[in-house]
Amino acid sequence: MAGSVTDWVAGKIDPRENLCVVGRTLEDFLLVQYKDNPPFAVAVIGVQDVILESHVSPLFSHATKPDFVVNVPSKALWTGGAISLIHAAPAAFGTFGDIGRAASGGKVHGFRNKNWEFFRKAILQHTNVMAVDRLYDEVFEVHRRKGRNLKVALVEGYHVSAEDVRNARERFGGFDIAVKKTGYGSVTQAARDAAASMGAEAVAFKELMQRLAK
Amino acid sequence: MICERIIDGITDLAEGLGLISNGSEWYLFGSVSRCDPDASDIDLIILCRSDAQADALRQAINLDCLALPLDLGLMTFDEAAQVDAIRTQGAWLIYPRTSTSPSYPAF
Repeated sequence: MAGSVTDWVAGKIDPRENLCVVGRTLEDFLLVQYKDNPPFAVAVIGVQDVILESHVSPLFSHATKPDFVVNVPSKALWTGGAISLIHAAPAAFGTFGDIGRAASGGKVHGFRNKNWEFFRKAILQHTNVMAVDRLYDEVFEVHRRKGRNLKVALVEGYHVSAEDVRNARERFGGFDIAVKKTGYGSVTQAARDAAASMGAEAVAFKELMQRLAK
Repeated sequence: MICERIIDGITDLAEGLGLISNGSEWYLFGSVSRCDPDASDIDLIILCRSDAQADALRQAINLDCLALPLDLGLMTFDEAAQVDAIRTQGAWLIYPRTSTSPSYPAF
């Protein structure tokens, strides 16, 4: 299975986009080169639903450590434990589409999703927040000074729709607040209604900050 | 160009879904629509006749079936009209193809 997903990602890397697979390590990591930069190692795993620490720790037990970890399918959730382990290596993770973005940024192992970091820091800096635990890549548990903990899910979409909210529940298994990831656009009334029908809220960033105080 | 292959891939996908995509409209926006060489995903929004069609399309579409991962948004025509979604996102209709549409956007 691991070989097949690695082959699949190798086949997706397009030399016309300045990326090229130049070899493989003994561990079956892809050696990928961006323009004339030194090659970096990409490990590919094939976890279908939830990526645990136990799925990624074997990748870092060899002499050669990956700089970047990709999972196929890309919709799988990365748990907080898996993310911490990868970042501590140090390495980065993402979809196969992120390989090029990470490579073009310079330090591949330092690649981070800017949206996630923005939300984690913004929530943590709220005066009513004591701590933020990362449950999944796009789901945080927020520990507040006053009020109960809140499960906050980041939702894709320039305009967040009712389907986005239903899909978030399907993926994350429930949440208190679904917050729109992008700073532009809006949350539709149907999305707010869909969230309310689940006993949750669908909000934009500014509304999230207000909600954390209540 | 990779963007042209991606657009062909999306329209093939839509047509291959048959009745599930019937009556829906598929719009491309974001980095791929601008032919950005550093695009990391494909921003696609599909307008649907109903919630049921949106849910069915979510189930039917493999987000990894194209050259880059699909960043898929689904909303009803009513929701899209309410927030003027297509215009504000600068989105471009790629399915269904119309006789007056160009084959590809003017990049």
